Amino acid sequence: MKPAPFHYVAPRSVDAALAALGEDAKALAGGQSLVPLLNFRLARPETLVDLNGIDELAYLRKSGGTLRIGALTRQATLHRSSVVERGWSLLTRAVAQVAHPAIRNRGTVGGSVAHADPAAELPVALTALDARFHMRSAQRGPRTIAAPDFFRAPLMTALEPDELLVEIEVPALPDGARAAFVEHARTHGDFALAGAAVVRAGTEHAAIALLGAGPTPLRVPDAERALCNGASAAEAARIAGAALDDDYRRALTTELVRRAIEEAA
Amino acid sequence: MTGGPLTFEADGVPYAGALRVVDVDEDAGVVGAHAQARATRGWAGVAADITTRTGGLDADVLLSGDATPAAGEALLAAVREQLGASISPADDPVWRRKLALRAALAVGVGVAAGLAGAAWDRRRRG
Repeated sequence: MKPAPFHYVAPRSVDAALAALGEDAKALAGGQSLVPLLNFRLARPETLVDLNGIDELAYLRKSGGTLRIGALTRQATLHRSSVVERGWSLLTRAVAQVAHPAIRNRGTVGGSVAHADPAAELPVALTALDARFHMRSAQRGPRTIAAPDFFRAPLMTALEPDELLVEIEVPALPDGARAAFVEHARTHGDFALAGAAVVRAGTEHAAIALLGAGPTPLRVPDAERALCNGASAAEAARIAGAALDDDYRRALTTELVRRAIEEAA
Repeated sequence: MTGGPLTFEADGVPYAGALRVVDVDEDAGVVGAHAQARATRGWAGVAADITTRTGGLDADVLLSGDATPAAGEALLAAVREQLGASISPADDPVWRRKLALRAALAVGVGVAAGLAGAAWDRRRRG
């Protein structure tokens, strides 16, 4: 199928993009999710705002210990970055499981976050890393939202129609932190049925975020506390899995969390 | 600077490709980049993962097909040329901090010398 007719604009700056965004407009980044939606006519925007010419949104920068990811940074760039691998290896591990290289070459970090698919890897990893999302709007100016408030429902975020996600800020991890990202998909590269992102730094810090366990990435504070208090991987995983109603998903998630905790130990 | 096209010649064969800046570590003053190019005739390709610091460049070069080490050297020369045109020491925060420290030290030494000289002059005049 072909998309319904739309106006196409290709701004060269964030300000120009913000001026073009509105109620009946959609921002196009890598197009790995939006273009299929357009082709199936599940999305029928009046205007398509192509962000690919805005070079100022494509960067990976470590500054003052904090990682700043421009929204238009390609997933392949995130995967290749040695800065990310050294300081935030969870992101490297998570993005390696996003579909296939051809998709990661076009797909963007900001696009994956703004699309907010509950089975997507990057939103889950960023939730485990306590990321903050910087947005801008022509009318209301800039604002910043933390991950738990950003993801609202499947494919729904705090982004308003006239707002653009411009940057993702990932704080530094505690010294000695280790991370693991484990997921299960029926076919390699397909959307995962379930998954877990774990960050551990001794008994001082633990973060566990679940993939496919709810309408949005899900943190499990009870399991995190248990882990900090010395619970075994199996016990913490059982607590994390208890958040799920479905027997199969609960068993699958519990096992994946256990593996992730052991890998990050 | 996010990168740009690269063209060069090695072993008499023209190559075309691209340089992409991957990441910038402002704390360490390091820029990571990736460059790759393929021969426009025949079957040869060359790629490099590059780390640049002020005044230095390290690279892991990967050759494929009929590419020879000369293609790797030509790729890195083209990268140096493009980065040299866009990255100056003034872009390096570590270099800027050192420069500011040296400037402050020079001003401090100058002021101290001036004050000492003025005091000596006042004592000499009685």
